[in-house]
Amino acid sequence: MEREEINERLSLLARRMEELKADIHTAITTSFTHFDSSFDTTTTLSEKVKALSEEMESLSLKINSEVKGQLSISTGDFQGLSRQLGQVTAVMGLLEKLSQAQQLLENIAQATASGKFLSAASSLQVLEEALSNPLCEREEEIKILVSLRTEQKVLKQKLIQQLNDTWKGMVGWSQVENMQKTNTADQLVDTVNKRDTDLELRQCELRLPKSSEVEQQIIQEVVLALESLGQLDRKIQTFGRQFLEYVIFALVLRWQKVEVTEAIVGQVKQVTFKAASLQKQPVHVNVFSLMESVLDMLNENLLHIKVVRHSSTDSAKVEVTLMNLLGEEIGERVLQGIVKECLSSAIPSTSKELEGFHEVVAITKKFQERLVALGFIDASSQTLLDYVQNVNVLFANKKCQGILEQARSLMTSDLHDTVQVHAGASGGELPPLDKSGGPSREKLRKMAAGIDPLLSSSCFRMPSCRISARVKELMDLAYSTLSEACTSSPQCAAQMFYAVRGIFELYCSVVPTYHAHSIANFPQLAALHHNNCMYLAHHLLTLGHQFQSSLPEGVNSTFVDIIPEVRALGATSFLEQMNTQKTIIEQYLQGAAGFVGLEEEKNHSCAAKAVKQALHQLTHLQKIWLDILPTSVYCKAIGILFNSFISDVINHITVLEDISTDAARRLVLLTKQIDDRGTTLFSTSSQETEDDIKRSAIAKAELHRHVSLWSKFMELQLVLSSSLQEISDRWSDGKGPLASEFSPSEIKQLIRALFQNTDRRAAVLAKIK
Amino acid sequence: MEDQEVLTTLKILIIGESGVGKSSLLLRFTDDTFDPEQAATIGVDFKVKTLTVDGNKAKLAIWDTAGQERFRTLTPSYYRGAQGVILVYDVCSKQSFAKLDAWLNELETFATKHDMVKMLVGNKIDKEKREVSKDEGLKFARKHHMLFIEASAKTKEGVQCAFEELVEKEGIDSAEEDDGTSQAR
Repeated sequence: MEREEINERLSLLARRMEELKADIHTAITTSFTHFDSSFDTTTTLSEKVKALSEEMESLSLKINSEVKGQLSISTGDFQGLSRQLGQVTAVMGLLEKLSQAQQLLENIAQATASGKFLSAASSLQVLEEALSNPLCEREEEIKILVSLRTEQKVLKQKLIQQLNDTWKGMVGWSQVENMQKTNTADQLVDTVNKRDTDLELRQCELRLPKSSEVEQQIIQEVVLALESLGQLDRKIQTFGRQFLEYVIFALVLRWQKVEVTEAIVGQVKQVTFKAASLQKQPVHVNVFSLMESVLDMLNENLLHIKVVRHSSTDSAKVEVTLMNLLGEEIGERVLQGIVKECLSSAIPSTSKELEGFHEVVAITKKFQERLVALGFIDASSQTLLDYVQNVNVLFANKKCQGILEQARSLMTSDLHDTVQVHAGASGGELPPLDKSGGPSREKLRKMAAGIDPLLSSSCFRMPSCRISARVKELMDLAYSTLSEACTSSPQCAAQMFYAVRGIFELYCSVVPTYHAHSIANFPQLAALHHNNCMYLAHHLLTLGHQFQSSLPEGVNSTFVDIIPEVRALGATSFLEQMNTQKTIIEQYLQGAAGFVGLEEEKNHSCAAKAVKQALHQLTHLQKIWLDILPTSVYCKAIGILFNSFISDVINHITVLEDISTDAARRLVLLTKQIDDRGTTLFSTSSQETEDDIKRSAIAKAELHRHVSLWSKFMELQLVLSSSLQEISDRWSDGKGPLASEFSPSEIKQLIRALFQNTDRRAAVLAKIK
Repeated sequence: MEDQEVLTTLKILIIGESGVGKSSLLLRFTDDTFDPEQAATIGVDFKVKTLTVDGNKAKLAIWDTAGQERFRTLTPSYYRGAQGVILVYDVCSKQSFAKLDAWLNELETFATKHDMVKMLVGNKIDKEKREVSKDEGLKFARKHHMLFIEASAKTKEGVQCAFEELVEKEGIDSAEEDDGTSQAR
């Protein structure tokens, strides 16, 4: 079965194969046949397309060559036309502007001529604006523009000129001296007598437009025109400068009282300012009212005119008056001038006046308000008020400056004028020395019990002497200043205290410099200067304590640090003077040539002259010093100089090789002269009350006390006039006074010079060892 | 005053208050003179006198000092080397007697010799208004180991004696050991 089935199936397959073969064959045949024919068709079509595209190409070429050419030609045409149009338009514009300009020029000329300055100015401005921008590309070739510009400039200058003239005619200052030059015929009102004008300017004139409507119109027109031409500021500047110079500084602040007279001349109000009287002391009230009236007048006639300005802070437009402009220009300087010339002198110089100063403040405040109302100064300007409200500081400054000036002038005055300082003269009405700082009474009692109770009460007193009157005044000034400081405000007090310190510091610098020559060359001035310094130092010791409690806290009121300097100042210059005098005396004594060979008249007269000269110089010093120096200082000073002198004399005589009898006699006479003069030198005025004998005794005692070599000199005198025996007795085995002054070799030398070589001499010499 | 004998030179000092008569005592002794208006001594005066005591000659170098404070020199150099001192007071002035302590004090401060002979002299016994009795003087002298004498420069009484005793004592002192006791008359 299966086989059969397979067979069946095989046969079926075979059959199906046969059928498939037949189908394929048919199919293939069919497809080939179709292909053939469509191929043909395509080929034909392709050929046709080719032909067409060729045609199209040629056509396109044709179009390109022909149409494009025509297009470019037409564009060129179009552009050309446009250009022509442009040129025509420009020319037309130019012509229009030119005609406009011409019109403006005519307007300007006309307006200027007819005095309509404002319209002239605005036309000019329009024209200027128009001409300022380039009108076309090749402007420079258009000659008319050049001449138009020239014309415009000419017109502008003309206008300005005219404005200037009008302004000048109506507004301005003239100093009387220059009147002939500046015044034109119609302004010449006041014939000036030249003789009245001296070197100082005492008169000036102001021209202002009348306050009537016409003139105000004109001036308004002028101002606005000037403003639009940018010329106003210069005018105001000049006006302000002259205002300052001619009126404020030359008249108001200088003379304070100024007569103002007004006169109407034509369009012009003529105001004459004339210094009325010379008042040395500036009166601020006068100055204020004068300033107010002048500014009022200016405001009424001229300065009220307003112009429009750009605000300085933002671009908004603001109206400002000429007064504002003037104020801007000179306001600050006017205020400073017032402060400097007028208010500064109103600042009080004493505490009393200070109390009345609030009136000045009030008046100044009013004046300030008035100026602000007028618009002359800005409300924020505080120059005046700051100044017066700062019065305490100003007062102190002025006060201290005054004190120092006064002190300096005292210091640079002559030292010659003297006053007597009395021992024990106290400060008088000045505050007593501060007790609180000192030891308690109990402590003082204990101290008194412990120490020698004989301590003199005048221990710390200034000794009687003479000082320069000016130095006394200087000290008084210091006292009065400190007294005043005690009642002043703390700030003021402190400043015054330092001013007083300043006085003494100034003294240390000024006096030794300023008086250097006199102090070095005049012994009496050196002595005075010494006293002056000691006097100041004496007072400085207690000056601080005296006022400590009344001065504000924090002020370390002491002057003791200045004392050493002041003392050194006096001491140094006096010592220098002493040295100078010592040298002078030494030089005189050199004339004695060592007292050699006095037995010869020639030598003797030389020696006598030298001694006389030296003694004369000492006596001269006594004359000038005794009256000035404190007695103790005088004795010390003259003692030192005299000691130096006799020291030289002793040294000369003790080295002499040989002293003849005549020479010895003459030497004794000379030493006697010195002896006598020595006593006279120490006859001081404090001994006036004593009788003659006692006085001479005291003088001798002072001589002993202050001239250390005096005993030696006396011994020498004795030796010169003594016998050998007397010398021997005075030596007394070295137990006599001669031995305490001279050495054995010195005395032996003297004996050999005085006595001939004898046995007696040898015996005496042998005893001296 | 002959030089053939070797003389001892004694340095004698006269001290005391001003106006008690120091210079007058000296002048009476050396020159045998008296001046009622004797001027105040300034600084120091000096006299030499030779004295014979017990056959021995002594040369006295006498320094007469200023009593008045203002006439005294600043440094009392005359104390140096003094061997004897005459301390004078005025019997008519209690005050001059009271000041003796101060003078002794100064003497001890400046004297350079320890064995100095001290003599207290009460002067002006010729005057009537006596304020210091002889006894008081004697007591003071004893207390301070001093010789004592009352004298009058005016009447010469006691003057020579005072100097002689001083020299005599000085002679004893220099010859013997100082026994520490002082004589008072």
